[in-house]
Amino acid sequence: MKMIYYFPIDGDGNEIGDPIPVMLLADGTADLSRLPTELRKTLEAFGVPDALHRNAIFPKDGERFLDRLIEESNGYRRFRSTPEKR
Amino acid sequence: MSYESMTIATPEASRKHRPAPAAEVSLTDEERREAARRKEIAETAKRASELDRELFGSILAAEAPAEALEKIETVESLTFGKEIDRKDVGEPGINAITRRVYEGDPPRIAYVKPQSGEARFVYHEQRRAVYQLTDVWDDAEQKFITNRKPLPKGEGASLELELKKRAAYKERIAQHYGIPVEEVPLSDTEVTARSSVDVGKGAIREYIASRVNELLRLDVIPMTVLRAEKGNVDLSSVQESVKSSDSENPARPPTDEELAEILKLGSAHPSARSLMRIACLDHLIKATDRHAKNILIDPVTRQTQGIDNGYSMGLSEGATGFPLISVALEAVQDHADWKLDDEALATMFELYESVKEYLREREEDVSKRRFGTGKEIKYLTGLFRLLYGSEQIAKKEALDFMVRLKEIIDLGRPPQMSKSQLWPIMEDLKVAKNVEN
Repeated sequence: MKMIYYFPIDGDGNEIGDPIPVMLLADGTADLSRLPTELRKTLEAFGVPDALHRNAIFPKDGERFLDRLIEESNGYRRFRSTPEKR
Repeated sequence: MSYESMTIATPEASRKHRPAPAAEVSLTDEERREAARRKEIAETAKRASELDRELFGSILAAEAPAEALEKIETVESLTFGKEIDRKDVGEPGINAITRRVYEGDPPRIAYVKPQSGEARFVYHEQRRAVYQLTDVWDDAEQKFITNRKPLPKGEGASLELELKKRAAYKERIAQHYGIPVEEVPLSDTEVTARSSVDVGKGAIREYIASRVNELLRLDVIPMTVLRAEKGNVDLSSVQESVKSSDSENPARPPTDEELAEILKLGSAHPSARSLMRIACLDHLIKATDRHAKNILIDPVTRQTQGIDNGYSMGLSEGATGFPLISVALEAVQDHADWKLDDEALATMFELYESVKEYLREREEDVSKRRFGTGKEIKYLTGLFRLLYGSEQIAKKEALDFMVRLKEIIDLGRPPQMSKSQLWPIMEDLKVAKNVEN
Protein backbone atom coordinates (compact mmCIF):
# COMPACT_ATOMS: atom_id res chain seq x y z
CA MET A 1 0.00 0.00 0.00
CA LYS A 2 1.34 3.42 -0.92
CA MET A 3 2.97 5.29 1.91
CA ILE A 4 4.79 8.59 2.01
CA TYR A 5 6.51 10.41 4.86
CA TYR A 6 6.31 13.86 6.35
CA PHE A 7 9.50 15.33 7.83
CA PRO A 8 9.11 17.85 10.65
CA ILE A 9 11.71 20.60 10.66
CA ASP A 10 13.13 23.10 13.12
CA GLY A 11 13.43 26.83 12.58
CA ASP A 12 16.60 26.40 10.49
CA GLY A 13 15.10 23.79 8.22
CA ASN A 14 16.87 20.81 9.78
CA GLU A 15 14.81 17.64 9.76
CA ILE A 16 14.12 16.66 13.36
CA GLY A 17 12.43 13.79 15.13
CA ASP A 18 11.04 10.80 13.31
CA PRO A 19 9.43 10.96 9.87
CA ILE A 20 5.65 10.63 10.08
CA PRO A 21 4.02 8.09 7.76
CA VAL A 22 1.02 9.05 5.68
CA MET A 23 -0.73 6.09 4.14
CA LEU A 24 -4.00 5.15 2.54
CA LEU A 25 -6.82 3.71 4.60
CA ALA A 26 -8.85 0.73 3.50
CA ASP A 27 -11.40 3.04 1.88
CA GLY A 28 -8.70 4.66 -0.22
CA THR A 29 -8.53 7.97 1.63
CA ALA A 30 -5.26 9.36 2.95
CA ASP A 31 -4.77 8.97 6.69
CA LEU A 32 -3.55 12.30 8.11
CA SER A 33 -4.16 11.38 11.74
CA ARG A 34 -0.50 11.24 12.69
CA LEU A 35 0.45 14.60 11.20
CA PRO A 36 0.89 17.70 13.41
CA THR A 37 -2.47 19.27 14.12
CA GLU A 38 -1.93 22.50 12.18
CA LEU A 39 -0.73 20.68 9.09
CA ARG A 40 -3.56 18.17 9.24
CA LYS A 41 -6.15 20.93 9.54
CA THR A 42 -4.62 22.86 6.65
CA LEU A 43 -4.57 19.83 4.38
CA GLU A 44 -8.11 18.81 5.32
CA ALA A 45 -9.42 22.32 4.70
CA PHE A 46 -7.45 23.32 1.60
CA GLY A 47 -6.11 20.06 0.22
CA VAL A 48 -3.09 20.35 -2.04
CA PRO A 49 -3.15 22.12 -5.43
CA ASP A 50 -3.56 19.93 -8.50
CA ALA A 51 -0.85 19.97 -11.16
CA LEU A 52 -2.21 23.17 -12.68
CA HIS A 53 -2.72 24.87 -9.31
CA ARG A 54 -6.33 25.55 -10.20
CA ASN A 55 -8.25 23.06 -8.11
CA ALA A 56 -7.55 21.26 -4.88
CA ILE A 57 -6.89 17.57 -4.35
CA PHE A 58 -8.10 16.25 -1.01
CA PRO A 59 -7.34 13.28 1.25
CA LYS A 60 -10.37 11.49 -0.20
CA ASP A 61 -8.58 11.46 -3.55
CA GLY A 62 -6.19 8.90 -2.15
CA GLU A 63 -3.07 8.13 -4.14
CA ARG A 64 -3.33 11.27 -6.25
CA PHE A 65 -3.32 13.29 -3.02
CA LEU A 66 -0.14 11.56 -1.85
CA ASP A 67 1.51 12.09 -5.25
CA ARG A 68 0.68 15.77 -5.14
CA LEU A 69 1.99 16.16 -1.59
CA ILE A 70 5.35 14.94 -2.84
CA GLU A 71 5.28 17.06 -5.98
CA GLU A 72 4.30 20.16 -4.01
CA SER A 73 6.79 19.54 -1.23
CA ASN A 74 8.88 22.59 -0.40
CA GLY A 75 11.45 23.55 2.22
CA TYR A 76 8.82 24.19 4.87
CA ARG A 77 6.51 21.25 4.22
CA ARG A 78 8.45 18.15 3.22
CA PHE A 79 7.04 14.91 1.96
CA ARG A 80 9.04 12.12 0.41
CA SER A 81 8.43 8.49 -0.49
CA THR A 82 11.13 7.00 1.76
CA PRO A 83 11.77 7.57 5.49
CA GLU A 84 15.46 8.53 5.33
CA LYS A 85 16.12 11.94 6.81
CA ARG A 86 18.25 14.41 4.89
CA MET B 1 34.87 16.34 -23.35
CA SER B 2 32.90 18.78 -21.19
CA TYR B 3 31.24 21.92 -22.48
CA GLU B 4 33.47 23.97 -20.21
CA SER B 5 36.58 22.91 -22.14
CA MET B 6 35.09 23.59 -25.57
CA THR B 7 35.72 26.80 -27.43
CA ILE B 8 33.82 28.04 -30.43
CA ALA B 9 35.59 29.48 -33.49
CA THR B 10 34.94 33.22 -33.85
CA PRO B 11 35.10 35.51 -36.86
CA GLU B 12 37.75 37.52 -35.03
CA ALA B 13 40.10 34.55 -34.83
CA SER B 14 39.67 33.86 -38.55
CA ARG B 15 40.32 37.45 -39.53
CA LYS B 16 43.60 37.53 -37.64
CA HIS B 17 44.78 34.44 -39.53
CA ARG B 18 45.87 32.79 -36.37
CA PRO B 19 45.71 29.03 -36.11
CA ALA B 20 42.70 27.98 -34.06
CA PRO B 21 43.41 26.91 -30.46
CA ALA B 22 44.15 23.21 -30.06
CA ALA B 23 40.99 22.62 -28.01
CA GLU B 24 38.68 24.09 -30.67
CA VAL B 25 36.31 21.61 -32.25
CA SER B 26 33.35 21.94 -34.54
CA LEU B 27 30.10 21.41 -32.67
CA THR B 28 27.01 19.46 -33.50
CA ASP B 29 23.69 21.29 -33.57
CA GLU B 30 22.83 19.88 -30.17
CA GLU B 31 26.13 21.06 -28.74
CA ARG B 32 25.63 24.51 -30.20
CA ARG B 33 22.17 24.72 -28.67
CA GLU B 34 23.55 23.65 -25.31
CA ALA B 35 26.39 26.18 -25.50
CA ALA B 36 23.90 28.93 -26.37
CA ARG B 37 21.64 27.85 -23.50
CA ARG B 38 24.50 28.04 -21.02
CA LYS B 39 25.62 31.38 -22.39
CA GLU B 40 22.11 32.76 -21.86
CA ILE B 41 22.14 31.53 -18.27
CA ALA B 42 25.49 33.21 -17.61
CA GLU B 43 24.27 36.46 -19.16
CA THR B 44 21.02 36.39 -17.18
CA ALA B 45 22.88 35.87 -13.91
CA LYS B 46 25.29 38.65 -14.79
CA ARG B 47 22.46 41.03 -15.69
CA ALA B 48 20.68 40.22 -12.42
CA SER B 49 23.85 41.17 -10.53
CA GLU B 50 24.00 44.48 -12.40
CA LEU B 51 20.36 45.15 -11.54
CA ASP B 52 21.09 44.38 -7.90
CA ARG B 53 23.89 46.93 -7.89
CA GLU B 54 21.47 49.51 -9.26
CA LEU B 55 18.81 48.71 -6.69
CA PHE B 56 20.85 48.24 -3.54
CA GLY B 57 23.90 50.31 -4.40
CA SER B 58 22.09 53.30 -5.84
CA ILE B 59 18.34 53.48 -5.33
CA LEU B 60 18.05 52.09 -1.80
CA ALA B 61 21.46 53.28 -0.64
CA ALA B 62 20.26 56.86 -1.18
CA GLU B 63 17.34 56.34 1.20
CA ALA B 64 18.65 53.89 3.77
CA PRO B 65 22.38 53.23 3.41
CA ALA B 66 22.78 50.98 6.45
CA GLU B 67 19.85 48.82 5.37
CA ALA B 68 21.18 48.73 1.81
CA LEU B 69 24.57 47.50 3.05
CA GLU B 70 22.95 44.63 4.93
CA LYS B 71 20.96 43.69 1.87
CA ILE B 72 24.09 43.75 -0.28
CA GLU B 73 25.82 41.39 2.13
CA THR B 74 22.91 38.97 1.99
CA VAL B 75 22.72 39.15 -1.81
CA GLU B 76 26.47 38.59 -2.14
CA SER B 77 26.36 35.60 0.18
CA LEU B 78 23.43 33.98 -1.62
CA THR B 79 24.71 34.74 -5.11
CA PHE B 80 28.43 34.14 -4.84
CA GLY B 81 29.00 32.70 -1.37
CA LYS B 82 30.72 29.38 -0.94
CA GLU B 83 28.29 26.55 -0.35
CA ILE B 84 29.07 24.94 3.00
CA ASP B 85 26.16 22.53 3.22
CA ARG B 86 23.58 21.06 0.86
CA LYS B 87 20.67 18.71 1.39
CA ASP B 88 18.21 17.49 -1.21
CA VAL B 89 14.91 17.92 0.57
CA GLY B 90 12.68 16.98 -2.33
CA GLU B 91 11.88 13.60 -3.87
CA PRO B 92 14.70 12.46 -6.18
CA GLY B 93 13.73 12.75 -9.82
CA ILE B 94 10.54 14.68 -9.02
CA ASN B 95 11.25 17.65 -6.83
CA ALA B 96 14.69 19.21 -7.12
CA ILE B 97 14.48 21.66 -4.23
CA THR B 98 17.57 21.78 -2.02
CA ARG B 99 18.36 23.36 1.31
CA ARG B 100 21.74 25.03 1.15
CA VAL B 101 23.90 26.99 3.53
CA TYR B 102 26.15 29.70 2.12
CA GLU B 103 29.21 31.21 3.73
CA GLY B 104 28.56 34.61 5.25
CA ASP B 105 28.43 36.48 8.51
CA PRO B 106 26.10 34.93 9.56
CA PRO B 107 25.89 31.94 7.19
CA ARG B 108 22.74 32.10 5.07
CA ILE B 109 20.25 29.26 4.89
CA ALA B 110 18.34 29.16 1.63
CA TYR B 111 16.01 27.03 -0.44
CA VAL B 112 17.16 26.60 -4.00
CA LYS B 113 14.91 25.77 -6.92
CA PRO B 114 16.48 25.12 -10.32
CA GLN B 115 14.63 26.64 -13.23
CA SER B 116 14.76 23.30 -15.01
CA GLY B 117 12.62 21.73 -12.29
CA GLU B 118 9.61 23.85 -13.17
CA ALA B 119 6.73 21.72 -14.41
CA ARG B 120 5.52 22.33 -17.95
CA PHE B 121 2.75 20.76 -19.95
CA VAL B 122 2.16 19.59 -23.50
CA TYR B 123 -0.92 18.26 -25.25
CA HIS B 124 -0.60 14.96 -27.07
CA GLU B 125 -3.05 15.18 -29.96
CA GLN B 126 -3.24 11.48 -30.77
CA ARG B 127 -3.62 10.32 -27.19
CA ARG B 128 -5.80 13.33 -26.37
CA ALA B 129 -3.98 13.77 -23.12
CA VAL B 130 -2.04 16.48 -21.32
CA TYR B 131 1.43 15.45 -20.20
CA GLN B 132 3.47 16.98 -17.38
CA LEU B 133 7.18 17.36 -18.09
CA THR B 134 10.01 18.04 -15.67
CA ASP B 135 13.74 18.03 -16.34
CA VAL B 136 16.38 16.51 -14.11
CA TRP B 137 20.09 17.17 -14.72
CA ASP B 138 22.16 14.03 -15.22
CA ASP B 139 25.74 14.82 -14.25
CA ALA B 140 27.15 11.68 -15.83
CA GLU B 141 25.42 12.30 -19.17
CA GLN B 142 25.88 16.09 -18.92
CA LYS B 143 22.36 16.66 -20.09
CA PHE B 144 18.79 16.93 -18.88
CA ILE B 145 16.62 13.87 -18.66
CA THR B 146 12.96 14.73 -19.19
CA ASN B 147 10.39 12.96 -17.03
CA ARG B 148 7.04 12.76 -18.71
CA LYS B 149 3.75 11.60 -17.25
CA PRO B 150 0.09 12.08 -18.20
CA LEU B 151 -2.17 14.16 -16.02
CA PRO B 152 -5.17 12.30 -14.61
CA LYS B 153 -8.27 12.58 -16.76
CA GLY B 154 -10.07 15.77 -15.93
CA GLU B 155 -7.11 17.58 -14.41
CA GLY B 156 -5.76 18.75 -17.74
CA ALA B 157 -9.07 19.62 -19.40
CA SER B 158 -8.79 23.39 -18.97
CA LEU B 159 -5.24 23.39 -20.26
CA GLU B 160 -6.21 21.34 -23.30
CA LEU B 161 -8.72 24.01 -24.16
CA GLU B 162 -6.19 26.81 -23.66
CA LEU B 163 -3.61 25.13 -25.87
CA LYS B 164 -6.13 24.77 -28.67
CA LYS B 165 -6.81 28.51 -28.48
CA ARG B 166 -3.14 29.42 -28.16
CA ALA B 167 -2.85 31.20 -31.50
CA ALA B 168 -5.79 33.52 -30.81
CA TYR B 169 -4.46 34.13 -27.32
CA LYS B 170 -1.07 35.21 -28.65
CA GLU B 171 -2.81 37.55 -31.10
CA ARG B 172 -4.54 39.33 -28.24
CA ILE B 173 -1.29 39.64 -26.33
CA ALA B 174 0.52 40.97 -29.38
CA GLN B 175 -2.20 43.59 -29.77
CA HIS B 176 -1.98 44.58 -26.12
CA TYR B 177 1.76 45.23 -26.32
CA GLY B 178 1.80 46.57 -29.87
CA ILE B 179 4.23 43.93 -31.12
CA PRO B 180 4.17 41.39 -33.96
CA VAL B 181 2.68 38.08 -32.85
CA GLU B 182 6.00 36.34 -33.62
CA GLU B 183 7.59 38.37 -30.85
CA VAL B 184 5.21 37.23 -28.12
CA PRO B 185 7.47 35.32 -25.71
CA LEU B 186 5.22 32.29 -25.30
CA SER B 187 5.87 28.79 -26.58
CA ASP B 188 3.28 27.40 -28.99
CA THR B 189 3.55 23.87 -27.69
CA GLU B 190 4.59 23.92 -24.06
CA VAL B 191 2.88 25.81 -21.27
CA THR B 192 3.20 26.26 -17.54
CA ALA B 193 0.21 26.03 -15.24
CA ARG B 194 -0.67 29.57 -16.36
CA SER B 195 -1.10 30.35 -20.05
CA SER B 196 0.25 33.85 -19.52
CA VAL B 197 3.47 32.59 -17.90
CA ASP B 198 6.07 31.21 -20.29
CA VAL B 199 8.11 28.09 -19.63
CA GLY B 200 11.63 28.20 -18.30
CA LYS B 201 11.42 31.54 -16.49
CA GLY B 202 10.24 30.51 -13.02
CA ALA B 203 13.48 31.47 -11.29
CA ILE B 204 13.45 34.91 -12.91
CA ARG B 205 9.88 35.51 -11.75
CA GLU B 206 10.80 34.55 -8.20
CA TYR B 207 13.67 37.02 -8.40
CA ILE B 208 11.45 39.81 -9.74
CA ALA B 209 8.88 39.34 -6.97
CA SER B 210 11.69 39.67 -4.44
CA ARG B 211 13.05 42.81 -6.09
CA VAL B 212 9.68 44.55 -6.27
CA ASN B 213 9.34 43.74 -2.57
CA GLU B 214 12.78 45.29 -1.96
CA LEU B 215 12.13 48.36 -4.14
CA LEU B 216 8.98 49.12 -2.16
CA ARG B 217 10.54 48.01 1.14
CA LEU B 218 7.52 45.86 1.94
CA ASP B 219 9.52 43.17 3.71
CA VAL B 220 7.07 40.37 2.87
CA ILE B 221 9.11 38.26 0.44
CA PRO B 222 12.33 36.55 1.58
CA MET B 223 15.45 37.78 -0.22
CA THR B 224 15.80 35.84 -3.46
CA VAL B 225 18.68 35.88 -5.91
CA LEU B 226 19.48 34.25 -9.22
CA ARG B 227 22.43 31.94 -9.17
CA ALA B 228 24.00 30.18 -12.13
CA GLU B 229 24.80 26.61 -11.21
CA LYS B 230 28.32 25.32 -11.83
CA GLY B 231 29.18 25.33 -15.52
CA ASN B 232 26.03 27.38 -16.17
CA VAL B 233 24.06 24.16 -16.55
CA ASP B 234 21.06 25.71 -14.84
CA LEU B 235 19.74 28.92 -13.34
CA SER B 236 18.32 28.68 -9.84
CA SER B 237 16.32 30.90 -7.59
CA VAL B 238 17.96 31.01 -4.19
CA GLN B 239 15.54 32.22 -1.53
CA GLU B 240 16.63 32.89 2.01
CA SER B 241 14.81 30.71 4.51
CA VAL B 242 11.95 32.35 6.40
CA LYS B 243 12.79 32.42 10.07
CA SER B 244 10.23 32.59 12.80
CA SER B 245 10.74 34.47 16.07
CA ASP B 246 10.79 31.14 17.93
CA SER B 247 13.00 28.41 16.44
CA GLU B 248 10.82 25.77 18.12
CA ASN B 249 7.82 27.10 16.17
CA PRO B 250 8.92 27.33 12.56
CA ALA B 251 7.04 29.47 10.04
CA ARG B 252 4.27 27.52 8.35
CA PRO B 253 1.15 28.06 6.21
CA PRO B 254 -1.88 29.34 8.13
CA THR B 255 -4.54 26.86 9.19
CA ASP B 256 -8.13 27.23 8.05
CA GLU B 257 -9.03 28.55 11.51
CA GLU B 258 -6.32 31.18 11.35
CA LEU B 259 -7.49 32.28 7.91
CA ALA B 260 -11.10 32.38 9.08
CA GLU B 261 -10.01 34.56 11.97
CA ILE B 262 -8.24 36.90 9.55
CA LEU B 263 -11.35 37.05 7.38
CA LYS B 264 -13.48 37.91 10.41
CA LEU B 265 -11.23 40.45 12.11
CA GLY B 266 -9.77 42.13 9.03
CA SER B 267 -7.64 45.13 9.96
CA ALA B 268 -7.87 44.27 13.66
CA HIS B 269 -6.00 40.99 13.20
CA PRO B 270 -2.30 40.81 14.26
CA SER B 271 -1.40 39.67 10.72
CA ALA B 272 -3.24 42.57 9.10
CA ARG B 273 -0.25 44.82 8.38
CA SER B 274 1.90 42.20 6.68
CA LEU B 275 -1.01 40.53 4.91
CA MET B 276 -2.14 43.84 3.42
CA ARG B 277 1.42 44.37 2.19
CA ILE B 278 1.32 40.94 0.54
CA ALA B 279 -2.05 41.82 -0.99
CA CYS B 280 -0.60 45.01 -2.47
CA LEU B 281 2.44 43.18 -3.76
CA ASP B 282 0.23 40.49 -5.32
CA HIS B 283 -1.75 43.17 -7.14
CA LEU B 284 1.45 44.75 -8.42
CA ILE B 285 3.12 41.53 -9.59
CA LYS B 286 -0.11 39.98 -10.89
CA ALA B 287 0.14 36.97 -8.59
CA THR B 288 -1.72 33.90 -9.79
CA ASP B 289 -0.62 31.32 -7.22
CA ARG B 290 -0.99 32.86 -3.74
CA HIS B 291 -2.79 29.89 -2.24
CA ALA B 292 -2.71 29.51 1.54
CA LYS B 293 0.29 27.19 1.30
CA ASN B 294 2.30 30.01 -0.27
CA ILE B 295 1.90 32.24 2.76
CA LEU B 296 4.02 31.51 5.81
CA ILE B 297 2.94 32.76 9.19
CA ASP B 298 5.13 33.18 12.25
CA PRO B 299 3.08 31.29 14.85
CA VAL B 300 4.18 33.69 17.61
CA THR B 301 4.22 37.18 16.04
CA ARG B 302 1.61 36.29 13.36
CA GLN B 303 3.67 38.14 10.75
CA THR B 304 3.29 36.74 7.24
CA GLN B 305 5.60 36.28 4.26
CA GLY B 306 4.90 35.15 0.72
CA ILE B 307 6.85 32.34 -0.95
CA ASP B 308 6.67 30.52 -4.31
CA ASN B 309 6.21 33.51 -6.58
CA GLY B 310 6.99 31.70 -9.82
CA TYR B 311 3.55 32.28 -11.34
CA SER B 312 3.63 36.05 -11.25
CA MET B 313 4.19 38.78 -13.85
CA GLY B 314 2.42 36.87 -16.60
CA LEU B 315 1.75 38.59 -19.91
CA SER B 316 -1.39 40.69 -20.11
CA GLU B 317 -4.05 40.77 -22.78
CA GLY B 318 -5.86 43.93 -21.79
CA ALA B 319 -8.89 43.91 -19.53
CA THR B 320 -9.43 40.17 -19.63
CA GLY B 321 -7.03 37.42 -18.78
CA PHE B 322 -6.28 34.73 -16.25
CA PRO B 323 -7.61 35.98 -12.89
CA LEU B 324 -5.30 36.70 -10.01
CA ILE B 325 -5.16 34.09 -7.27
CA SER B 326 -4.27 35.53 -3.89
CA VAL B 327 -5.57 34.62 -0.48
CA ALA B 328 -4.20 37.96 0.75
CA LEU B 329 -6.05 39.98 -1.91
CA GLU B 330 -9.21 38.01 -1.27
CA ALA B 331 -8.97 38.57 2.47
CA VAL B 332 -8.80 42.36 2.15
CA GLN B 333 -11.71 42.60 -0.30
CA ASP B 334 -14.37 42.25 2.40
CA HIS B 335 -13.07 44.94 4.73
CA ALA B 336 -13.24 48.44 3.26
CA ASP B 337 -11.55 49.92 6.34
CA TRP B 338 -8.48 47.69 5.96
CA LYS B 339 -5.79 49.98 4.59
CA LEU B 340 -2.11 49.75 3.76
CA ASP B 341 0.05 51.11 6.59
CA ASP B 342 1.33 54.67 6.32
CA GLU B 343 4.99 53.69 6.04
CA ALA B 344 4.44 51.46 3.01
CA LEU B 345 2.06 53.94 1.44
CA ALA B 346 4.61 56.72 1.81
CA THR B 347 7.29 54.66 0.06
CA MET B 348 4.92 53.91 -2.80
CA PHE B 349 3.93 57.58 -3.06
CA GLU B 350 7.56 58.74 -3.20
CA LEU B 351 8.41 56.21 -5.87
CA TYR B 352 5.40 57.12 -7.97
CA GLU B 353 6.02 60.87 -7.71
CA SER B 354 9.67 60.45 -8.59
CA VAL B 355 8.82 58.46 -11.69
CA LYS B 356 6.04 60.82 -12.73
CA GLU B 357 8.27 63.88 -12.43
CA TYR B 358 11.04 62.25 -14.42
CA LEU B 359 8.70 61.18 -17.22
CA ARG B 360 7.03 64.59 -17.34
CA GLU B 361 10.32 66.46 -17.58
CA ARG B 362 11.63 64.04 -20.17
CA GLU B 363 8.60 64.78 -22.32
CA GLU B 364 8.94 68.55 -21.91
CA ASP B 365 12.59 69.28 -22.44
CA VAL B 366 15.55 67.06 -21.78
CA SER B 367 17.94 70.00 -21.43
CA LYS B 368 15.95 71.42 -18.55
CA ARG B 369 15.78 68.18 -16.62
CA ARG B 370 16.29 69.01 -12.98
CA PHE B 371 14.49 66.22 -11.25
CA GLY B 372 16.29 62.96 -10.82
CA THR B 373 17.70 60.48 -13.28
CA GLY B 374 14.64 58.27 -13.63
CA LYS B 375 16.61 55.50 -11.98
CA GLU B 376 13.51 53.82 -10.51
CA ILE B 377 11.60 53.49 -13.79
CA LYS B 378 14.78 52.53 -15.62
CA TYR B 379 15.42 49.88 -12.99
CA LEU B 380 11.89 48.50 -13.27
CA THR B 381 12.12 48.41 -17.06
CA GLY B 382 15.45 46.61 -16.79
CA LEU B 383 13.93 44.11 -14.40
CA PHE B 384 11.07 43.33 -16.75
CA ARG B 385 13.36 43.20 -19.76
CA LEU B 386 15.27 40.43 -17.99
CA LEU B 387 12.05 38.41 -17.92
CA TYR B 388 10.36 39.20 -21.21
CA GLY B 389 13.41 39.84 -23.40
CA SER B 390 11.47 42.53 -25.22
CA GLU B 391 12.02 46.26 -24.75
CA GLN B 392 8.46 47.02 -25.87
CA ILE B 393 6.90 44.59 -23.41
CA ALA B 394 9.21 45.72 -20.60
CA LYS B 395 8.28 49.39 -21.06
CA LYS B 396 4.55 48.65 -21.21
CA GLU B 397 4.79 46.45 -18.14
CA ALA B 398 6.70 49.12 -16.24
CA LEU B 399 4.05 51.73 -17.04
CA ASP B 400 1.21 49.34 -16.22
CA PHE B 401 2.98 48.61 -12.94
CA MET B 402 2.94 52.34 -12.15
CA VAL B 403 -0.79 52.46 -12.97
CA ARG B 404 -1.45 49.66 -10.48
CA LEU B 405 0.77 51.43 -7.96
CA LYS B 406 -1.30 54.60 -8.38
CA GLU B 407 -4.46 52.61 -7.72
CA ILE B 408 -3.07 51.49 -4.38
CA ILE B 409 -1.88 55.01 -3.52
CA ASP B 410 -5.26 56.59 -4.34
CA LEU B 411 -7.29 53.97 -2.47
CA GLY B 412 -4.85 53.24 0.31
CA ARG B 413 -5.31 49.57 -0.59
CA PRO B 414 -5.71 47.35 -3.67
CA PRO B 415 -8.87 47.95 -5.71
CA GLN B 416 -12.01 45.87 -5.36
CA MET B 417 -12.04 43.10 -7.96
CA SER B 418 -14.67 41.03 -9.66
CA LYS B 419 -14.58 37.23 -9.68
CA SER B 420 -13.18 37.30 -13.19
CA GLN B 421 -10.29 39.44 -11.96
CA LEU B 422 -9.63 37.66 -8.64
CA TRP B 423 -10.42 33.97 -8.38
CA PRO B 424 -12.33 33.39 -5.12
CA ILE B 425 -10.57 30.40 -3.58
CA MET B 426 -11.82 30.97 -0.05
CA GLU B 427 -15.56 30.78 -0.70
CA ASP B 428 -15.82 27.29 0.80
CA LEU B 429 -13.85 28.37 3.85
CA LYS B 430 -16.15 31.34 4.40
CA VAL B 431 -19.20 29.07 4.28
CA ALA B 432 -17.62 26.39 6.46
CA LYS B 433 -16.53 28.88 9.09
CA ASN B 434 -19.64 31.03 8.78
CA VAL B 435 -17.59 34.12 7.95
CA GLU B 436 -19.97 36.92 7.01
CA ASN B 437 -19.13 39.76 4.60
